[in-house]
Amino acid sequence: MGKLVWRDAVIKVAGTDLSDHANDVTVEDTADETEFTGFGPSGYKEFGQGLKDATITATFYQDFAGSSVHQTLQGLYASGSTFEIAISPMSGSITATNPAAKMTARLYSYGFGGAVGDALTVQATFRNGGTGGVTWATAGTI
Amino acid sequence: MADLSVIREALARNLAAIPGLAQSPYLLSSPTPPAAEIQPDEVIYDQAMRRGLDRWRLTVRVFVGFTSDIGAQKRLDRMLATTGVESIKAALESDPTLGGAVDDLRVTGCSGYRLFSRDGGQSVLGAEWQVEVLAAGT
Repeated sequence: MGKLVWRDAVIKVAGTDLSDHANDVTVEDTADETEFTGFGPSGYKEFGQGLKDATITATFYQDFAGSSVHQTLQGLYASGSTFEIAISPMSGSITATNPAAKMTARLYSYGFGGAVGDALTVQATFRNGGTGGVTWATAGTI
Repeated sequence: MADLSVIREALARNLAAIPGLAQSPYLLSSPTPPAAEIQPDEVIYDQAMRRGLDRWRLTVRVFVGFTSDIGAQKRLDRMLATTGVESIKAALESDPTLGGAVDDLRVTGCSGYRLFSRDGGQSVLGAEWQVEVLAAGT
C-alpha cells in the first residue's frame, strides 16, 4: 500500500460504526518535551519524552436516527463513562499495513451547529480516558 | 445507495403536484410548455468516509411559453414563489427524502426569468432551479 487518498476510514465509537457519517478524523498522540540538558562540551540541549497525552477528533454529519450519531455521542457524554474509540485508515482486516488506533476515551463536551443551508455536523473531541493512550493493533478486528 | 435515475424520477413525481405542468425526469428534445425537465449537473463524491455521502446537484428547468405576455409571467411568478400550489421549491421539497431514496434535498436557488430559444426563432419563457441532494453512496 502506498500513498492514499483518504476516503475509506473505519471509525467505531463504543462499538457503533459511524464511519459513513464521518468526514474528518485526526489521531494525535503527543509527549511533553522534557529537558535533560546538563553541563558538557557538545553545546546542544538534550530533550526526552515526558508525560504523554492523546486526543482523537472527528467531524460527523449529524443524524438523529436510532443508534446513530446523536444518540451515540450524546449518550456517552451524558454518562461520563469511558468507552473505546477505534480508527483504522482502511476497511478490511487489521494488519501491519492497515493498523487500528484504539483508545479508551471520554467525551467532555457535546454539541452541534451550522449555518442555514449547510449539512448539519457535529465535532467530537475524544480525550484520553485511561492510562494506555493510543495503542496500535496490527491484527484482529476493529 | 443513491441512483441518479431514481433521484430524477422522484423529483419529477414531486413536481406532479403542480396543476397543468408536464414533468419529465429527463431532458426534452422538444418541450411543450408548460413543462419541466431535469438535468443532472455536478456530483461531488466521497463527502463522508466509506462512501457514506455524495452531493448531487441538478437543475430543474421549467418552460411556460410566451404567447401571452402577462399571463405567462404571472404563471412563472407563482412558480418562483416559495409557497403555493404552483411553487416549484415547495413541490420539490415536499418529500425531501424522495421516498427514502436520499438523506435530504434542498432547492438552493433559482435563476430568475430565462428566455430559451427554440427552432423557428420563437422564444420560450422559463426559469431554472438548482437542487442539491445529499445521498449515501452505498
